[in-house]
Amino acid sequence: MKRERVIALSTFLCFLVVGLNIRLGSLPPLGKFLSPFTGFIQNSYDAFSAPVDAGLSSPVRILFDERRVPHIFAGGEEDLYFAQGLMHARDRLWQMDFLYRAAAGRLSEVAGAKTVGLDRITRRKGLPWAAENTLDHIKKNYLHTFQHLQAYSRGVNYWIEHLQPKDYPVEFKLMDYKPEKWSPLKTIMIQKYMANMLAGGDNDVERTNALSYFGQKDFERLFSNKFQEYAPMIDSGECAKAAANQYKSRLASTWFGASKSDPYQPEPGYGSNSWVISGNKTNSGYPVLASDPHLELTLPSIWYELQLSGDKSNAYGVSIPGVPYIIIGFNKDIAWGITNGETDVRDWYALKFRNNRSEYYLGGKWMRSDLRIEKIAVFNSADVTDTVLLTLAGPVVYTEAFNKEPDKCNMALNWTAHLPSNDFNMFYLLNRGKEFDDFKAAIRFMSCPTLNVTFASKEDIAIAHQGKIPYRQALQGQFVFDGAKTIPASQYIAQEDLPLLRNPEKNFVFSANQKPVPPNYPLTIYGYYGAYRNRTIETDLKEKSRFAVKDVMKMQTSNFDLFAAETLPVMLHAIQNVTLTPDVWDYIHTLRAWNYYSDRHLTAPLLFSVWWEEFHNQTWDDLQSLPFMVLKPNAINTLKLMKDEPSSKYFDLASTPEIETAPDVLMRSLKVNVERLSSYRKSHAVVNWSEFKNTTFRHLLNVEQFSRVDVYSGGSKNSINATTTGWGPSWRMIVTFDPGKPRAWGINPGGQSGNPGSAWYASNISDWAEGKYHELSYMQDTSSACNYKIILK
Amino acid sequence: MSSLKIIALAIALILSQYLAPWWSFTIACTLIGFFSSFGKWKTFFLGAGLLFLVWMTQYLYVELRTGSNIGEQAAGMMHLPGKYILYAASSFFFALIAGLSALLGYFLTVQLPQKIAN
Repeated sequence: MKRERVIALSTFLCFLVVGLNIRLGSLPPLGKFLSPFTGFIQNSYDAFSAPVDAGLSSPVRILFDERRVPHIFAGGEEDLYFAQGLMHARDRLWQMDFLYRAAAGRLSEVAGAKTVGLDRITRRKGLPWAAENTLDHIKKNYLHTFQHLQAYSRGVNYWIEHLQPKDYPVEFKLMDYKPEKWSPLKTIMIQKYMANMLAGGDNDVERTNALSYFGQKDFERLFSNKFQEYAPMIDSGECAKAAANQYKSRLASTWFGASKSDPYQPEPGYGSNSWVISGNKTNSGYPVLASDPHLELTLPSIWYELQLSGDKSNAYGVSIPGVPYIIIGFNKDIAWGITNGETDVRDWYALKFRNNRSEYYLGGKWMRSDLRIEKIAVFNSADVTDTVLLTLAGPVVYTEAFNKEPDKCNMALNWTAHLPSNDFNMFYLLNRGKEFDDFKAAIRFMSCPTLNVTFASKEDIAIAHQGKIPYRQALQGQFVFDGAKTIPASQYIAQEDLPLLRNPEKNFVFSANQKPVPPNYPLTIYGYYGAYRNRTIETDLKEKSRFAVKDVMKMQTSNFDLFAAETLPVMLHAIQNVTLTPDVWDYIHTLRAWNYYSDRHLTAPLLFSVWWEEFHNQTWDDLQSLPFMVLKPNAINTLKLMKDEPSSKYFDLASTPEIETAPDVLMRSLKVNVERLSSYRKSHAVVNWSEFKNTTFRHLLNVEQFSRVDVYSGGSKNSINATTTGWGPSWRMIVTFDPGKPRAWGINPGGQSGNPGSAWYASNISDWAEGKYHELSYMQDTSSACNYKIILK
Repeated sequence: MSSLKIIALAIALILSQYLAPWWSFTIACTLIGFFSSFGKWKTFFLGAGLLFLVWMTQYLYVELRTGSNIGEQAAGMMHLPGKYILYAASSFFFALIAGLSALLGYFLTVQLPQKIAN
């Protein structure tokens, strides 16, 4: 009996220990996670130090300022990027691992079966394949870049080697896995991840379906791109009339089909701002550069702030964890900013296959498919094997075996992100640039995504629209190509024909994701361009004759919403003869008194936003019930229709027997919202724009406790301060040049640390929401004052 | 069992937590149970009490030293109302396992002399 008791108890204990040592479903391994010696509580400590015997060629000094920003001073470049890798790993190791896994289609290995679909899409889009080709290209052609990537990886791995399990970032503990060694390929994967984030959307299929559904005449009216002519990056007088190069026409034919899907589409309202004001328009007499890239608001923060000082450069700015160099920043001679180019660099080719997909028909010929076998490891489940078909037109993303988007089934994705390139070199050369010619030499390395790059030095200001843009004739690239009759693009707009503007007479350059070129630009550049923030910026820059830095700060945080200013009066005018009930009258009265600023404490931005959304949705409600996905006419074209043809058939609602006009739909949507607002008031103590907008910095794993919700903030997607629920200015920077050294101000929402237990994890969010800036401490040398320092040897 | 012996075993328990995986306390507590000369309930409470004390002290030490809010965040993830509840609940739960391990040690002391006698 006693023996059985011992066996039973020891068996029970064994089961308990094993059960508490492994991850069960969404529960972390409780024994490891809760142990105060190795578990979550150990992440209360901030990593201040780093192991110092790194075997470097000369000592590297890392000085930390009061915001925990590292200022790295190294003798050689390899030591410099080693130290950058070490700092990124020290503060953002899990974020780097996660971004890499997302880019490589390896999330399922740690997240389980729920992300298999996502991993398959990533691999089928050809991102890992493209990254491998890019690595080969860099190895063969750019030895210095490869050496930097290797040095960076060594720095990351040096940190990983010195980690004990108790020191792992808390997310590794939650998901029960260990950090893997870093490599140059992983860095390239993250670059492809960014390319996917910024240039991974298109609406070719939905436009093709819309053309079929509306017919040519109405399509041209309802999907006019005329608005893209408003305030282009380079205007007519500044644009060359003819291309410097000759381009060959290519065989191309569009295809018309229709089926159902729910794809990711580019959103022109999201983007970035950057402008430069020349010294002729500033109080100091020196140029001022402003840059605020709008990206997903996440925790850990997308950007990592640092200074990189080597033998040939001393640059300050923000970097992307997992990637060496400074991406947006300045050095003592120049400053640069970026916005997403938004130019369409993706085309879909409808293909026919035969012989069990071993052959496809492209441009009038049968060709052999290449197969790439992808093996996806899945946590707590069997591996999944997928076969990706590679064609000359690109990978076939969706097939009958994986039909997440039926509209795109059997189509090849032709995308410049697949091309081998060395985009890193642009940032490397900008980091060490001294003048305009260096800027010009640097930007030519940017391939995908297209970027608008702004530039300032003491003498020059400039802006360029840069990237590999397929050469297309009119309308090509906006619709699906018929692969049977089409040869994919092999010619790209030549570097000298890409838009570039230097020292214009107007004394400023600017970009807010608008169309980069005016109508007289001789080549076809098509994209998903915005039309509001650019005009606000242009007006502000034109109207004021002299700018101080504080004026630029005010501009960068402006909540003025031009979309509302142009749209609301039209909406109010359309219903001026309608008799209003008292509750509707209150609603209208608040809107009439509005100054079109999306300030956080106001109710009017909320009332306008929901009214417009409801009206837009009701107007195009017929499209929701179609068995295929059709692009909805955008706000500008809908507004034009309302003004020009209020009795258009498109305002008649299919769900009612009456024939509606635009004012009827406006009133219906208004009444719906008055009712909604009434019930909203009952469930919410405070009703204002911020509370409704609910700006949230979401943790990458969507852990609520590691996220920051309902940040009290203003802004809207068409304000310069384009802060929405989960998107916004992910870094605000203003740089000017004094005779001695550059002066800069910035704010990185989030913080330096990726550790949710750190005081520097979300330390800047409230200052960011208030529109405050921190003066950036640009250190000249290692004798500068600092909070603490590390010397690596 | 002398208090010196208990202190030595407590130190062994603490060291096991610093140097070995979390579950090493089950081995340390089994040894405590094996070498203690208490009755079975006292042995159970000795193992459980020691583990509770060691874990709770460590939680509070880190908490006071860093002032980090990660305890609150972890408590939120576990749907508990506050970090101190989490620390207490966690220490208590694992203390039960420590107590059972000590009890196993006690049963082994009873079992082994029988075997030797046989």
